[in-house]
Amino acid sequence: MIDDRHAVQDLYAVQDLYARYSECVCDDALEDWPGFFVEECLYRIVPRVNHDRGLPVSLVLAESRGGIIDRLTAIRNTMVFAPRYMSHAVTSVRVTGREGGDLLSRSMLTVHQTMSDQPTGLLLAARTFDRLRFDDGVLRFAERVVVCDTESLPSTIIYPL
Amino acid sequence: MPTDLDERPWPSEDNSRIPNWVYSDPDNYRRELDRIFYGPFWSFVGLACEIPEPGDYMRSVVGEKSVLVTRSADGEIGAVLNICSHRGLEVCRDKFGHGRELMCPYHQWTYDLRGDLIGVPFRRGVKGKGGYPRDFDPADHGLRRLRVETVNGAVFATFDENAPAMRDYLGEEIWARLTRVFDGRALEVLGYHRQRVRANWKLYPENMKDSYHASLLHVFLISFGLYRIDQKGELLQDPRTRAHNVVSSIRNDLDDVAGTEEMRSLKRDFQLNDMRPLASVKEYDDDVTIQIVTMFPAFTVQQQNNLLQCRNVVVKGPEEFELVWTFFGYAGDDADLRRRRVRMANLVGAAGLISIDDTEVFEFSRAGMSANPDRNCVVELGGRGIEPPVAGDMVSEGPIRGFYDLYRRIMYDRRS
Ligand code: FES
Ligand SMILES: [Fe+2]
Repeated sequence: MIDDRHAVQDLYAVQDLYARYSECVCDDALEDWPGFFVEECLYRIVPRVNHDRGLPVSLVLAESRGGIIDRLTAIRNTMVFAPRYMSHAVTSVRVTGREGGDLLSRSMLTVHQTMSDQPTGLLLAARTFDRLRFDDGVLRFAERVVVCDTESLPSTIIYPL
Repeated sequence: MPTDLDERPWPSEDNSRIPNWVYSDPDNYRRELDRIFYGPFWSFVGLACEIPEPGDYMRSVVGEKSVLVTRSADGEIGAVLNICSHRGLEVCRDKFGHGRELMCPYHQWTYDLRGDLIGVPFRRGVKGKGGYPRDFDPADHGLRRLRVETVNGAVFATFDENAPAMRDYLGEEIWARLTRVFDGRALEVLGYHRQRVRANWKLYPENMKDSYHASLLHVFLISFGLYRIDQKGELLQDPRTRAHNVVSSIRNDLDDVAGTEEMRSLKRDFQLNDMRPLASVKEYDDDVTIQIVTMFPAFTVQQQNNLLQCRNVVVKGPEEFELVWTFFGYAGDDADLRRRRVRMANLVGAAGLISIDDTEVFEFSRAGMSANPDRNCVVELGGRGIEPPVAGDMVSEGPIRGFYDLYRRIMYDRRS
């Protein structure tokens, strides 16, 4: 329950972060993507079966902002893939707790993908479990764990979630 | 009986041409299911460590058929068709389970983990009325059992009693490479990826035999020096079937390159900010950094530095398959080695820095081939024959021609 003005402000900041993050990905402004993370961060996309069974392998793992930049370098320069647009829908955003100065938050995420020549299709449904930190006055991800229900992915995951 | 398929001409006597219709034709696909996936060939169905305890079971697939891989009370691993003998339901819908028996939810026929039918409700009817005929024998109605062989923790199954034992099936050379990875140490699953690819299943094993593309398509791989065609390598084939292969290579230093002027995608100026996903330690007695074992019809196990994965192709129709990745290590790995394997997983799988190139281009293949079944692929790199390339030569599509040598003998009655 939201019980004070601080909590309302936090929720607003968190929703704003999620919205800007989605816009960054869906507007294809990925050069801004690493800036959403603190330097010493953890970013994981995990199939739900691995998450539920405690298995450590992720779909995507970055253990620093440098690792995120590396994936960006690969997306922009080395990976071969068909062009597509992404559309993120983030719902049920909630601040679930605080630890030190960090906010813990979660959200529901569905991602649609539109390939050229094809109708829009659902790429995946997921939940996100995040740890957010005010860093230079800006709210950033210290940790972002995206747990994918969509186990048999209909396509490759190229762009960030 | 000859069918249309048997009359259809193959575009060349040898296998240097592959007609596009083998990648899309529904009749051809149905025959592949019958003759290959349900024929005397082995399919990978999982790792024994996924069902460690007696009473454990898991769902798996052979061809399009759901099977259950079980570890029965005596610890023995078996596989049964996951379909109730009564009315054809899939008995078990859980990915993993544990128990003494398998009960079909519909009318509660129960089977033990070896597939024997051990319980039939109202078998004698109610108050002397109804029930099954006197001569109804549960022994006739067990779950269909598959033949199973476990190779140092990797479990394979076949519907056909005539399949040769795995070692004979693979041949000595391929067996040696398979058991270099499945070397008898207990295994540990580190995770799964699963993805659908809208393309014909054969493109996957072909790709895994194809050293040509690796140094051209995979810009990440070559730019960071993980693999290049000028590296010391081997293309092995089982000389009897030509259809099981090994591609392996040994990394050499970045500067020590030849032939790179033909690799237009080579970019030397990339640097990684976080090198941990590439940081490996020597783990085997040799210097092989990449070893890809491809087993007919469609199972691959790959070692890339410390990254170990099974890549299993599950067919879903003539123009779709699911690629199931099982990442594993050895149960005795220390935390450091396990972490290396987990970090390297970034390179492969459904979001892999390298692997997405492959699964993406398969869909380009489908788009091209499906609309042009009358055209043929040209497979002449390294000649037109099926002989393995001379030692050290990686510039050959011989292994792909080899695959079709066996494939055509299985598939078409009227041609050799
Ligand atoms: S269908 Fe399985 S018990 Fe009737
Ligand atoms: Fe590849």
